[in-house]
Amino acid sequence: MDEIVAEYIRRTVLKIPRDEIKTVLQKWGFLSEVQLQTINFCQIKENISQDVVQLCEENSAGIKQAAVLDIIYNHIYSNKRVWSVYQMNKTGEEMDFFDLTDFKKKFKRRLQSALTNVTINFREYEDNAIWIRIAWGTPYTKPNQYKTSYVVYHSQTPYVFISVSVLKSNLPLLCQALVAASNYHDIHEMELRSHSLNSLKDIVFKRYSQNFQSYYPRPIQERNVAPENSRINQENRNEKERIQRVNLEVFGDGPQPKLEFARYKLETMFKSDPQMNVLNKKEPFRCLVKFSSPHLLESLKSLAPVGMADAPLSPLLTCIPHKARNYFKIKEKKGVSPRSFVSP
Amino acid sequence: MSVLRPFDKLPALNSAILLLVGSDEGLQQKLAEAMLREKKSFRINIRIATSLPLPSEGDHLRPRIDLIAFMIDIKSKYSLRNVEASLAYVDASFFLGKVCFLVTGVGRLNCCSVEMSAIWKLREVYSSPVLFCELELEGIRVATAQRLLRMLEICAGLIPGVSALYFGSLMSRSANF
Amino acid sequence: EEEEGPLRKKSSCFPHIASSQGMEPGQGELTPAFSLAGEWQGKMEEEKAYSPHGVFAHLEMLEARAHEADMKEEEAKQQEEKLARLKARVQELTLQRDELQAKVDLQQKRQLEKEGVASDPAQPSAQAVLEWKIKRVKAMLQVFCLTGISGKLTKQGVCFCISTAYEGTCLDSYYLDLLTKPEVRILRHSIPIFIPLEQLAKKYLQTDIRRFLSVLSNHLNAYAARKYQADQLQEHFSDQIEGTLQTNSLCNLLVFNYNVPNKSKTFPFNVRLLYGDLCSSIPTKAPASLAEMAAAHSDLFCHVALHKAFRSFSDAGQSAAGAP
Repeated sequence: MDEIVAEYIRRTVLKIPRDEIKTVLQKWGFLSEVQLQTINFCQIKENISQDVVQLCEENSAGIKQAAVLDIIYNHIYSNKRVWSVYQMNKTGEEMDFFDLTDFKKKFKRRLQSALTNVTINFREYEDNAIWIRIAWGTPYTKPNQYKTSYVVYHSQTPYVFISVSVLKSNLPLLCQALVAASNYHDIHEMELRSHSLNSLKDIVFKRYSQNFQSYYPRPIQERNVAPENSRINQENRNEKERIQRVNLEVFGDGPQPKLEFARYKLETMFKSDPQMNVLNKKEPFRCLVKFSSPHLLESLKSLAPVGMADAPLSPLLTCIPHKARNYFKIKEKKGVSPRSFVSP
Repeated sequence: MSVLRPFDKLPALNSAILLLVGSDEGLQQKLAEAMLREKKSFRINIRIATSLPLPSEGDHLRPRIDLIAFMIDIKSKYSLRNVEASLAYVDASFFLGKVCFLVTGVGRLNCCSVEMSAIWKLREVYSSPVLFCELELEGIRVATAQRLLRMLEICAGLIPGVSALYFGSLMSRSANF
Repeated sequence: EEEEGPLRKKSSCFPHIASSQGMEPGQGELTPAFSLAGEWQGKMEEEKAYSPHGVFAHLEMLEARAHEADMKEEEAKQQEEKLARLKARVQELTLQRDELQAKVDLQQKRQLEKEGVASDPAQPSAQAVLEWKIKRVKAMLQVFCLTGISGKLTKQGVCFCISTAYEGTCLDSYYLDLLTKPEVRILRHSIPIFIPLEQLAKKYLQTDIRRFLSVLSNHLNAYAARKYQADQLQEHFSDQIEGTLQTNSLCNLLVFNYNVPNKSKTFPFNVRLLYGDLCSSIPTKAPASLAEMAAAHSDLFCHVALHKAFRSFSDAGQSAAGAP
């Protein structure tokens, strides 16, 4: 077995929490159940990793198997990466019979024609998601297995989730290959980023709770009107109910997708009497506001009920899942009221 | 909108009514429960409101209010603005000792977003005492409940010889030194 | 031991006084007082060494105890109050119940008398009529849902719910929120991204909303049906399929391998089903490679639901095995 492969497998195993190693290796399926039983998973990780490498050596693992292990690791711990959503566009309306083998072939051919030293691996998951791992090299160096790019693509959707490696220069190449392989014409970034891949999917695939009004039979929640402590009285009960209602309308009643931040860039011109001649430069004022939280949308949702903000929150904050973006630029419309919101 | 007046209703026998005004309802509830748990020789009733004016539909049921405590969360500018807006609906005679400001969240001054000068200014303008507390901590919550209870007892006129006005001026004098 | 400190102090003081008085009763006015003070001081100094045992600490402890006792008392009082309140409530409710019971009894009695006197049908009460009406409306709503498309007027437009079903099995529901004010526009929806909603909207939304909804419903139903078939296939016939079933999001291409038993031999079939019509749950193209059998199977694929076709294959296989 290759020295590089052995070291790579060892380091990948070291990244996994100790009590998870066994399940990950089982998912990998490269080592047989009998082989797995010979490993003592209670010892320190360093030793476990060495045992695993030894067994892999017996099975003569190649870079392909090592890459699959890395994909499995990244699939389970996908929130260790930052994912960014890209949207692809199509001009025609022709019907698309998406064929996986075809897609793989085209993608590989496209990348390898531009760059010979590149490792590409695929793995499909049940939800029609294709995970692609790309390790980049240069014409003169071997692919760097430690600085990989990940792409998650759901067939026949215009969205791609990309987690770029440190080597950003290869991104255009990657985008080209994706567009070509999936029969689209154009690709652009959507200004939506998060650590939680599943939440990004929920947002762009419209799977988050949107609270639609319909007559569809839904269990009616009976309100509990238990006689409360007569010594503590709520004065603003009606107001509280209104806040709850408004909040439900805006956020729905399900859990919110997980985003870590939202960034707003404000650009506005200074307006003054032209005769005063205070500022005749055409340079706008710039201001950057960043909201961050371990779970931004849930915290926005609870702002009004806990009394930290007025009930309908600003649409700038609540439009995040609907507009599917968490990077905004606020500019003034030409000649219209100054605080209007333009979505570019 | 109706302005809250201290003497437009008759007092009930041997009871005292506190009005807590603040935006954090959870904290208000906790404080109210702590006050109820304390031993006292009179009946108390605590009314919790997010802001003033109070809704008019319950006007006829509402007893006479003896003390208003405005809660300001030092971590939230919004709570200060809320209190400032609510103060407009309090009759001037309330400020003769029947109002106090409760500044909460003092335990986490590093997250402080309300300037102390704004609070001192409130004290000056409305000549009402300011209490600092951290209601998240059990011990301080109990101590605050005891203090409020004592003030409430005075404001309801249940302690002979001490009036709300006297107590208020005492507090403000001590605070000046 | 720590808590006993003050008590021990007292007990050690008194014998001392008694003994000094007992020995010199005449002049013993000052000495006990002195010795008492001395004793105190001694204790104080001793206790300064153990810092938490100062006088204030002791007072604090006493205060805490008193507070605790007070709290318990107050709690008991409150419990009592609550009990009284609940008892009163119980009494109130029993009274109410008795009253209602009496009314019901009276009514029944009257009704019996009436039935005895005349045979005119009992006039249903307003309550019963209302309940019946509500029931009817609910049933109507349910029927609407069964049609697959139901809508509700909202503040700015209409919210449609499209429920899908395949062969008697209810599948997922999808929502579509439409704005009607300036022009008909989709506000938000929960329709899967790979359904060509935008194209459909461009074609029909402004002109013929009925058509739009029915075409959309066809698309969704066909998608749900294809997905359901593929799932059924994987669930029930995974032993006959070799390798994995390959499909895509729209489920309009299915690739899988299966074995056909034929005269003690099995032929591996490689199937590639194309669903050319997105509004249909039956494939348009099912090429297979073995002449006759393939033609038959291919024909079945084109006309019957996928899992049913498979069931018929396995049935045929069994009967073939049974007859020598």
